[in-house]
Amino acid sequence: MVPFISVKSSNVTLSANPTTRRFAERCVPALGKCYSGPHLAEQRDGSDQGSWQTALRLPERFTSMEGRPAPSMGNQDALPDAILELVFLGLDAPLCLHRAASTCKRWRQIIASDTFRALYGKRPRLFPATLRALAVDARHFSIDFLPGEGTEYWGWRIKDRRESLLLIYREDWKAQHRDLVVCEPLTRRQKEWDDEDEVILLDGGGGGGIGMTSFTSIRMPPRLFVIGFVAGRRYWHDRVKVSTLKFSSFVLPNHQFSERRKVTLKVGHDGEARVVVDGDDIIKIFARQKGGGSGEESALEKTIQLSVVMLGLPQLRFFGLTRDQPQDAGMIQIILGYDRSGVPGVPRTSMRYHLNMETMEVGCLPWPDLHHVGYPYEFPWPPSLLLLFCEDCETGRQDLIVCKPLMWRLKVIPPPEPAIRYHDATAVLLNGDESDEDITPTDIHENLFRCCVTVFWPLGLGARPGVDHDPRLYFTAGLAFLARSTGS
Amino acid sequence: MEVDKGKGEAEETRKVAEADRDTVTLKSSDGKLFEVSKEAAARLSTVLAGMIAGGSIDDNGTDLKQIGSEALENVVDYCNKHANSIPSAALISSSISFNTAPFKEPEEWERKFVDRLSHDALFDLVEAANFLGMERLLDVTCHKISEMMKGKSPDQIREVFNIKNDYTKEELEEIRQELAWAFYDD
Repeated sequence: MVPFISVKSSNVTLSANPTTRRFAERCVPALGKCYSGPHLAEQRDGSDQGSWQTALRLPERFTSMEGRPAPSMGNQDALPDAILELVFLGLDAPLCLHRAASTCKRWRQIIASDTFRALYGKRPRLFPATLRALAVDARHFSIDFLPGEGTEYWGWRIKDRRESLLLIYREDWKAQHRDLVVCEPLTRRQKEWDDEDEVILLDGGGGGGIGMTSFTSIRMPPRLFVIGFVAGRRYWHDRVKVSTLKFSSFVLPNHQFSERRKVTLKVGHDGEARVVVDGDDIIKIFARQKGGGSGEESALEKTIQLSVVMLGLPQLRFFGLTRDQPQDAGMIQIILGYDRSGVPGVPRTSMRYHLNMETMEVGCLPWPDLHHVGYPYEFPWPPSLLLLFCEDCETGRQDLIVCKPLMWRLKVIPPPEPAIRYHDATAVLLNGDESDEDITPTDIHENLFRCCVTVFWPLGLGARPGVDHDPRLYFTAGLAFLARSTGS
Repeated sequence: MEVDKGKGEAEETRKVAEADRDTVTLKSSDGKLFEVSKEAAARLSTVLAGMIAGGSIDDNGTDLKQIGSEALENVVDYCNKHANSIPSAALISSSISFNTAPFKEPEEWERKFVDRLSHDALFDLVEAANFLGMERLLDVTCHKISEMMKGKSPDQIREVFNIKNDYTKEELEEIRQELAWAFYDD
């Protein structure tokens, strides 16, 4: 019961699949023995992001027609795998891919291969906004199948997520009961157990990737906080240390990590993980050192003095790493606050900037401030639906944005009642009553998607104690969310 | 100039050929001869460019044993049309706003070009483009095939591509369960 679309764990190789292996070798001549995503990234040291596409364009991909029977339409073997891959790459909607994959075994094998998925994830958007709506019924994203929603449990928090799985922590204060639920909304499956400790989701091993039937969880030592999952490794910190799954650790500089947002994870231009630490005016970037014994060491790679980088810009009052970091390689997102003492031409109190780790170039992001990182939620594969909060610092107005980056579609959802602030909403989830036809493909800034690849999943469910125990369920254009009313 | 076929494109081909006598003759698997401008061939096909540069072009018809006459005719046709459409191509490309993608939308004439092909001819052309290393033609034809898949249910895709469903009933059921959200609710 391993879904073919579940993303493979980082240590799976494709050696069992000669077809895709052949293709991989053709496409990426420098490829070594491992073909899974993170390893791939590691194997192409120093190459830029575009190398996949570049590789695709190499003449090596062209297949030989020698010894092949005359092509006949309809024969499953009519088109070589490499051509089929090109055809599948042209399918913008994951939905089309899934349907194609369920037509026959050979197609499924091609689409499910790690190689293809790596290509698909990195492919340029070939045919933007030309698709008619291929919406997935939004009720498939609901977590309304979980028991105990609403009244008895008030404290719902999403503790972790991996791909299509959510790990939800629930707390019932009256009954003094806490438990954990792992669920997969798309397939409406769940598993509960009592636990109070920090738990994270891991691949179940066996090469099947992570899915409802193949996950394990491990209990973390207390006081360790997960900070992210990048380049095949999970990182967490206990305010002074950053660890990988192997529990190797290194000591970060002597900062007070009172806030989680002082540490964030990035993927560098080389595909390797970087730990980025916010040291007030300084950004420190740490890189994992390869080789040199069994342990893994991380070392300071670069220090960026922000005031120098930001020279010529209005005087800043504060800066910080944003929690919703873009997934672009080598880009750090920072938020900068300005002293607004009547300086003309400084419209906002805070702005977001992209900082290029390597070149230290800074670019301002042109949309309103984004708040509230939630937990990214993905289709089992490939990720395609994003939900995020958006707040205009100037007016305090808060909207929700749902977007489908692979289809270049986006929809802004204002709060149904002005008194309701998404900020305060304790839950936002996709639910029935589906109709997202009016998601318009217009006005989509390309950068928006670059920066919002982190998905914003609801922060929690239920009401807060002592505030309002009557959470109301709102439906708005395919989205449902629970919110406590802020007024009477 | 097409030697064997005297179709409408021959007129255009002739013009090109007269303006630039520099042509190459290609021979299909069934022995038919086609002529195409050397410049267009070298620009559009990496394989032909290599052959021209390497001097392995045969004046009496370069053997392309892997390509049938119908596919080769389409290839030559595409080369000629491509050569004729260059001015409009520049105009169109400048008006595309999403120009970050290295692949540009097929142009009108390219669309028409692939639309008129039968499935057999299209698939043959894809392979010919693949064999000859013709990037753009490969992209355009693959795009056409992608388009044929879009918005279709698995059954419809099987029908269009004449694919034999080799899943067992149990396997299909399993897929449907795992991917219930991806299928039409039927």
